[in-house]
Amino acid sequence: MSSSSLTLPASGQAAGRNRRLLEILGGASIAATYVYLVLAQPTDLTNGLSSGSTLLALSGFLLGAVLLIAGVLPTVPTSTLVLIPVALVLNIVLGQFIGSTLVPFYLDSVGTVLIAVLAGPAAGAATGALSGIVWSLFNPTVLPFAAGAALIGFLAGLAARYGLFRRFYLAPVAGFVTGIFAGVFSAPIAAFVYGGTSGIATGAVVSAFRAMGDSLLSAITKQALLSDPMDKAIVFSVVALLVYALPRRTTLQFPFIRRHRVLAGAKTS
Amino acid sequence: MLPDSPAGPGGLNPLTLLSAAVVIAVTTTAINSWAVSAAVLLLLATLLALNGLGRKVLPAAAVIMVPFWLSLLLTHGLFFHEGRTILWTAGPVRVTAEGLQFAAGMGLRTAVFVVVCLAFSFSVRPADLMALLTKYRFPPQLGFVLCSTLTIAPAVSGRARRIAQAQQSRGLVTGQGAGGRLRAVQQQAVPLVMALLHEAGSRADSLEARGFGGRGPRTSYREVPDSPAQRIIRWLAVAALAVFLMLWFGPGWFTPGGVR
Amino acid sequence: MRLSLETFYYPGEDRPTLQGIELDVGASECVLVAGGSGSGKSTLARILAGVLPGRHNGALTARFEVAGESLVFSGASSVNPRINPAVWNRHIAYVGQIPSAQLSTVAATVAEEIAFALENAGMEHGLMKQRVRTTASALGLTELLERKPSELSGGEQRRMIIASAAALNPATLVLDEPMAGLDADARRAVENVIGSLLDRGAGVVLLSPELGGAGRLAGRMLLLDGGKMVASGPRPAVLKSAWAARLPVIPDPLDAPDRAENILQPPCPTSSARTPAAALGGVVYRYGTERRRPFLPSRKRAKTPTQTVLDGVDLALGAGERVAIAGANGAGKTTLLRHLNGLARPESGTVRILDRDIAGQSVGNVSADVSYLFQDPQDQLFERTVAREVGYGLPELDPAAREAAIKEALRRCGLAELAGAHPYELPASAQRLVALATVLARRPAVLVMDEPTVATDRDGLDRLAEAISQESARGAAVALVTHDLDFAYRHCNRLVLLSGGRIVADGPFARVLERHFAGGEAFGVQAPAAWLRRREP
Ligand SMILES: Nc1ncnc2c1ncn2[C@@H]1O[C@H](COP(=O)(O)OP(=O)(O)O)[C@@H](O)[C@H]1O
Ligand SMILES: [Mg+2]
Repeated sequence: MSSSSLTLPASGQAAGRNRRLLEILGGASIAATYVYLVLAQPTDLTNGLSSGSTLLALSGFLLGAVLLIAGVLPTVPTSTLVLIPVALVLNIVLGQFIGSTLVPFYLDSVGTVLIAVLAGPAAGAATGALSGIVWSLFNPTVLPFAAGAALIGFLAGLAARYGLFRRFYLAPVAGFVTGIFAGVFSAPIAAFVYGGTSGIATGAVVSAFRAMGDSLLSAITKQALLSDPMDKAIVFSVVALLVYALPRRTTLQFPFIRRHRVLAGAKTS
Repeated sequence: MLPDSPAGPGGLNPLTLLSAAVVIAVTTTAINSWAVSAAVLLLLATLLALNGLGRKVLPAAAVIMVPFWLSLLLTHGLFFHEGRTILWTAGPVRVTAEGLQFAAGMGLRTAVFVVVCLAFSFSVRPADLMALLTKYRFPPQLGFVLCSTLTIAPAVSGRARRIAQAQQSRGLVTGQGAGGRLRAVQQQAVPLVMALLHEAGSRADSLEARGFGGRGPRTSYREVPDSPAQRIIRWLAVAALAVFLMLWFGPGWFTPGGVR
Repeated sequence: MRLSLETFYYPGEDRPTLQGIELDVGASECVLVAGGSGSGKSTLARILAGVLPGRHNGALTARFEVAGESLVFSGASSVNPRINPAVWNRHIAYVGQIPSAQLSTVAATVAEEIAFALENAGMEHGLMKQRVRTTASALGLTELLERKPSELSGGEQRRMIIASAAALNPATLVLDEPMAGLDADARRAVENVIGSLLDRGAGVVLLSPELGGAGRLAGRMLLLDGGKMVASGPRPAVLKSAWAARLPVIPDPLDAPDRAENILQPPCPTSSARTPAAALGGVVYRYGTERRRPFLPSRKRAKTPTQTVLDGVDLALGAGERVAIAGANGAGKTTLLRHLNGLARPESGTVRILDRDIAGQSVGNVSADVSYLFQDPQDQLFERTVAREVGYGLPELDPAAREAAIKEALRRCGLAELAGAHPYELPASAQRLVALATVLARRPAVLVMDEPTVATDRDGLDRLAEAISQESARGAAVALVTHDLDFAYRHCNRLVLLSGGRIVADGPFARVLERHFAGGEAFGVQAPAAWLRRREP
């Protein structure tokens, strides 16, 4: 303890290590579930789908997402924490709005990517996972994709960390690459949990691939690879435009932006 | 889950509702038969209708499930080339009994999941959830995010509306239909996010100045109804679920292509 | 509590935002920190609250004496103490400036909001219940305890937030502009709350651009200008130096010296025979008759019984007239204004602008003739520089004329040097001036303003007054809704009183005052102090 009760002692190390452990466990749980789904499930799921793997996918991803949240949230400073609800509302509103149109995109990760750019990969991942969980209160079908949303937030944070938001033309490229990962990641979830996609437009794309003779998993993966990279490229560009329009004072308030010079011209202070 | 949801039906604790929801959703998914799912769905619908929740839950579920079903029908009803029993073909389209059965199985099982989850969220108050999370020593930040998202949503939409009105008052004319709405969304996005981030900054100060996010233990003003009986029921339900899963999948359930 | 502050720098700034401030507050003592917009009041408040510099990374050189401990901050060095807000708020509590941002957003009732700081302090449940009850009854909030925080009126919300900060019984409370935007009743209620806090033995630091109102509770005051303390001491002495320094603080209407322009009534326009610039005829309006798209599909659509807001309003605004519209909260003032540019559509009755019925015209089209200044400037700032903001939505002109129009509007609002600044980085009063500039640049035939004086300092008020007289001289009809009849008395020539959705008085300003305000207050509106004083001798 420091001599004064009004001040904080230097930050505790033990608590930090426990949090790290939770984050790693969460990430490992998600990764292991994914590997199990892809590798250990060679049989085509249309020949009598194993409901065991559905439950496993659901619980593995959900557990991972919850561990991630529990590990990251307590370390997030209050100034970032208050942004997360705002981000979730943006995600949900845009996601619902786009989902109600006949566009084969989602645009449900604008808020997640925004947080990732302002506050880094860990906060981005937690926001993604929370987004899936909170949105599922209105639309339960998005629950299994919480882990995928966490991956998007994490990758967006990495992109920001390594300067891909300093130039406007780099943002959609980063988004495109993130989208490839996101598509490959979420396709097995859609296939094993729902046996398809939840939107009519995306469903039409899947059935087009099925008509050409693809297996269900590969049809869904191809659909995801058509939609996701484009979708994320759009989302990353939108977020880049948003953060460029923010007052410098607002952006410089975030240590992540100051430390890694996330935005061009933002001097470290 | 709405800020103005009624208290849990019959003074039930949210955890009791949650464990019931989990048990129902997991067993129907495990059994994975369209007939069982349909029966559970019917039962749930009647229960909810009797409870008065049906009027809210069922339309909300329909909004989600109808596009989902259509998508499944499109994918599996028309193109299911693994199917043997062909009912009708035309060009690349092949309607098979297996395809329809697959679509029905998936569609109904998901419907049970959706209805159960919505029933839970429609009967729980966010503030109760926050109090529970506090009671079980979850990080208060988690409760804050859950609760705050639901309470600021109307404020966000109000602000978006005011921004749109201010833009129109300065000469912005947006068209009707999806295109016009998309353009309006695009015009509003920057000012909306700017205003929200600004407000969030002040909120952080206000929360911090009232000691939120401190390291000591947190307590809760709100009391959530609970009883020893409910606690026992919850544990029993979870234990029963575990036993059921064990018996249903057997010891070899994790091997590829195991039972079912 | 005692603070001697040498300097404070925001990160990345090379000039100190605050400099040379000495503040001490004892038990039951109220200290007023007065200063114009951007003078550093909110910055000082956040330093007192312990949230600055915190993680914001500013450089503070200061010495605090709080609860018998002394904390020394020495610039940007890394050995500075880190304040623990969870303990700090037991000694110094803080209520910020933006009311909607002060809600915790996790409380379902007022009682829970008041308990928020107690919960975070880990107070035992029985004790907490009792503390909430005593705090609420001491501050007169008992009947609100079971209400929902988001459904309170502005004044009730302000009182609840102060109670929430006071629940831990801190020795000192820091209140940043607690009166901004409140009507007479709500101001009195908040003043009573502050009075009870002082009675309970708490010290209060009040930060405000207004010298009157709650400022009268202060025994001592401190004047801020450009971040520097220019005077401090007992209130009457400092009031005099405030006048001498001509700071942009807002005088107390009760003891302001009567300057000539305070009394001068602007002359009435001579031409009122022509067709009016804007006319409402028999307008009836009810809430709930418009269908609104639900925000989230599952959200319950509010199905409140429809309530008549405007009940047969006839009002004609002549070219060159300056009309003040006043009335209690909920009388329908804003709704009336919204009819003038089509944001609200009458259920029955007509709205004519320049002798043209606007039914069926979109708001965007009406905006060519009618400009609307909204109450909250942040709802109407969209762009990333002040100049682009003023140019937003200007009718198609050739680029040179457009540039000139923008320049001229900026000049009239005193914003010429700020053309490249981000609107959000300006102090509140300058933001209001930016919003005013966007309206002036359009050269409308009808100019309507909703509460233009709120959160505006004296410099801003002067610009606003000038703009009103210039616009009316140009031939525009100006209508403003305001609680501030002192301002309106000086700059408007006609007064319209609204009560319960009906116009209950309408006519030349002085005549309406004489007929209805013999008692000093009517229809929830307070008569201008300058007029009352003029009547006395
Ligand atoms: N985060 C910040 N970074 C840099 N400058 C700031 C910041 N916040 C406020 N300022 C500047 O500090 C000055 C004082 O602002 P403020 O304390 O808000 O004044 P007041 O409350 O009296 O209106 C203003 O010039 C303002 O632009
Ligand atoms: Mg201020």
